[in-house]
Amino acid sequence: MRVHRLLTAKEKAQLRQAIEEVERHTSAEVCVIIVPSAGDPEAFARAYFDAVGIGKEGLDNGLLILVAVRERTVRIEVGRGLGAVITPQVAQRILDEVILPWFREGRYGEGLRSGVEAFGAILREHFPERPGVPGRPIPDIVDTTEPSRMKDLFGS
Amino acid sequence: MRHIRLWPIIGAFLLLLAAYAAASPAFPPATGFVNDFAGILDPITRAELESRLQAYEKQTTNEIAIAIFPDLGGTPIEEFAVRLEEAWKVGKQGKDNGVLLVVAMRERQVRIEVGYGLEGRLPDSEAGRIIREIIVPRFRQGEFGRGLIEAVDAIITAIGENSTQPGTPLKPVRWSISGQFWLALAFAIAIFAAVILSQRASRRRCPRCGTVLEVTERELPSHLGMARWYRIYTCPQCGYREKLLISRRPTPFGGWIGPIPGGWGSGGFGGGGFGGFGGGASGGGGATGRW
Repeated sequence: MRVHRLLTAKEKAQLRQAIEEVERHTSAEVCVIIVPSAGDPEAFARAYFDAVGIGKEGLDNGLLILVAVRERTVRIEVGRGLGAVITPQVAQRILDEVILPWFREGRYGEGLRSGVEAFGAILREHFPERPGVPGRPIPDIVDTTEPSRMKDLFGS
Repeated sequence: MRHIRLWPIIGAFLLLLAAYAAASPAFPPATGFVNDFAGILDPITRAELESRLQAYEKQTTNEIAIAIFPDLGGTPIEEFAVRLEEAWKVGKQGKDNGVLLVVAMRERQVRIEVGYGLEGRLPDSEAGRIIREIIVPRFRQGEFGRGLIEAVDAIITAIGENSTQPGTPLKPVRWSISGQFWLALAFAIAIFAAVILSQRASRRRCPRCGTVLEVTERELPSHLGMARWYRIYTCPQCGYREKLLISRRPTPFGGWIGPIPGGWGSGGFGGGGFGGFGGGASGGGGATGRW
């Protein structure tokens, strides 16, 4: 399956805005990864999470949404610091009821944005912004389905 | 404290420490199938390799590990790879179905170490070809991630998607190297406690005046010319003495032999939060290349 891109530039900008909005009002850190193929999406998400260390140090409050296009799989990985609120059940519900219905219609941008907003609403309630130790800057959106990014990512 | 009883404890402790030290050379514990100690892979590439190798292990039980080091500290890469394999035990125990790909950045060297169980499918010639034709050209262009992804693909193609043997899945071992240390420490403490407790229990009182007897142990020559160890009870109050034969062997440990730390190095001890490799052994085969 040849994947060109999942999100248009406009959709991506909107998604970025939604993520920034969440991060402005909560202490959590949100990250969306879109890859053409992840092999084992669970392992991929975990490995990426560990490799970049999403979430502020000590708070472990990262939230990763991985979209593996070839596997047609969305995987949500939640940092330990958020685990009590974003339980696997909560994550599954947002995935099943918010993100995937849009995805099935091919509206990936809408799905991701409303997913981020749904998580944001819960996070805002339980994790209001507080000055944490800022971790390494982590890109909000990584999309390796773009041919231009492919070269950057594999070229390093 | 009865000083004589302390020596076996200290001896046992030192032995366990030595066993620990021998079991974990200077290598860092494995963090997963992909171990990038030089920090050359971007997170996406790392995640891609990791998930690929995890999935492959699940499917076939074959373990392919990647270790990237900034430098080898003067050790030849062949020796380095063998020692790393001994430390990490990539591959399942008994099957030796592990492949270890070592990259040394400063030395610009690559080594593929193949376990005995896979040498038939990934002979040295094929490992050499993968290094020469896939890894080296990519690495020369600075494309480390792509080089490794393609190399892994080639290794998997060579070994195949089937399990080496239908063998039973091994229990995941979740002990880290530091866990091993704490285990050794806990063991030593347990022995210490056991000795103290048994001494408490065997504390004897003087039959004459009821005072707690002092205990010493001494080697006394017997008339047969064979050394004998005696435990001597002395009463500090009235001078009552009693001799008790505890061992005929002239052992400096007073008849008490410490646990022999065998089998400590031979589990499948991994590291970190990672489940650990299966406990394979190095096959001695492999290939090396420079870029």
